[in-house]
Amino acid sequence: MLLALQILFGVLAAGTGLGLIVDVFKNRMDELRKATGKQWASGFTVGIIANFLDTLGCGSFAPSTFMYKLFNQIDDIDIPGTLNVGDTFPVIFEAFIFTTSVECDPMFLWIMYICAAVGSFGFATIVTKWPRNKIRYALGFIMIPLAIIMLCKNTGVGPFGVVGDAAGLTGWKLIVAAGLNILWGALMDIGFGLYAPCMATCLLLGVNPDTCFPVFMGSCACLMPACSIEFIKTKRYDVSHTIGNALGGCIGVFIAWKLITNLPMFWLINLICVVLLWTAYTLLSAAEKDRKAGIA
Amino acid sequence: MFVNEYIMDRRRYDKWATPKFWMLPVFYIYCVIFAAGVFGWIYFGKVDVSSRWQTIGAFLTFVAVYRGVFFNWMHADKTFRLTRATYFNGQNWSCKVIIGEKNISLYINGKINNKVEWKEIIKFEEAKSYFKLSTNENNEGVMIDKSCFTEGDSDHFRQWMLDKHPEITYGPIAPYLNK
Repeated sequence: MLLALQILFGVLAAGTGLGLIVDVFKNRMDELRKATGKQWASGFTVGIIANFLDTLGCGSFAPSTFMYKLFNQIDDIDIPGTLNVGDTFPVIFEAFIFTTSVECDPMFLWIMYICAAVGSFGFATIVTKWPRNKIRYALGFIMIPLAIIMLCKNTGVGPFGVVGDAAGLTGWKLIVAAGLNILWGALMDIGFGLYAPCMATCLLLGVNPDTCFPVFMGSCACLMPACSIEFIKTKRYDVSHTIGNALGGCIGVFIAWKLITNLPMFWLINLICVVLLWTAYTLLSAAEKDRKAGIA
Repeated sequence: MFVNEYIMDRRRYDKWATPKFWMLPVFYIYCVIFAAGVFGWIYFGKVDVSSRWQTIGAFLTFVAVYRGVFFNWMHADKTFRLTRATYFNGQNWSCKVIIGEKNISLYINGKINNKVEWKEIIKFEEAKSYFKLSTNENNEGVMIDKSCFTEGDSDHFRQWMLDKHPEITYGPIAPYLNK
């Protein structure tokens, strides 16, 4: 019953879904009919795997792009649109199931979501002028000690205290979290994922690890449809892969949700630390690659 | 020939790109979601149930207010600021539309930007303060400000369009864009 309610809410919230359906029925039906089994299978498989990883906090764009290139069933030019439109539904689904299955202070959620939106919309013109590579290095190097501190907290080693169990934040901690979420929201405009930095912020400020998930997922769920609408309007997405990705993605999210909510806290925090280290690695390797190519 | 010249600033862009949210059909869906969310937030806060239910209420009210009221305006505003920063060095840009017998020429900051053939125009829409000549490409079109004609005027332009191009469908713009 609860799951049905959540799915209903997800469907209602996804304005993007309406846009996609209208566009497919009006303009893309021929393409949909001509789609081969291989194309459907490729979209579906990529959706499951990438969104499983996304729910864990690893992000889905990098693994999806890698797999789409591997399967070679889609034009490269359509990959960004397919990922944006196809992943919007799993991300919204993700936000809903985690919001409803995890205890979280409603006011804290509201403030964090508003800050992510303000960052993304209000600071877009400012962050586009920032040096992307320097930010990658900075974030990448910060993630490593953060992961180590979390591991120490989890195992009770060192002077870092224990892992927090708050369902929300108040006072100066809330101000810091809100300020940083504005920054993470703004950095999304130049291609930085919000999941890992937002998760690290919440954890270090004493939020319960489970509660971090609806915070960062909701922040993204509210921002992603903006990009998707643009891709739908310009028709720069592959229909069968997008639908396959969306359906498979929801299944991937569901599997990951089961894993996360059933995992003992000790192992969940260890998993989060692995995600933070992985994010640090991807940021630093991307920065190094661009530095070698002479891109600032 | 008609010439229309205006400066594209934030106010003008927002006015043309942002629909009146209360006139969009989807707004009423968000009203229902908002009502359900507020009710849930208050009700589940008072009865003895898990705060997960209150969280659902808070999340739904946020989605409803953000998507139903603010989203279109925020999105248009961001698009304008990014365009200005990326292509026009942070400055507003001037637009000049020359409506000729053969085609429509668009100049941006004094340089030719695009030429639109009459056969590409499928609709001639009129709003309170502007005309829109829509093409079939992603609902894009040529925007003409009624108060910015430097050659001709809006009444003569409307009449000229109806006489010269009866093949282009004329009508009022959608109510949510009628500004």
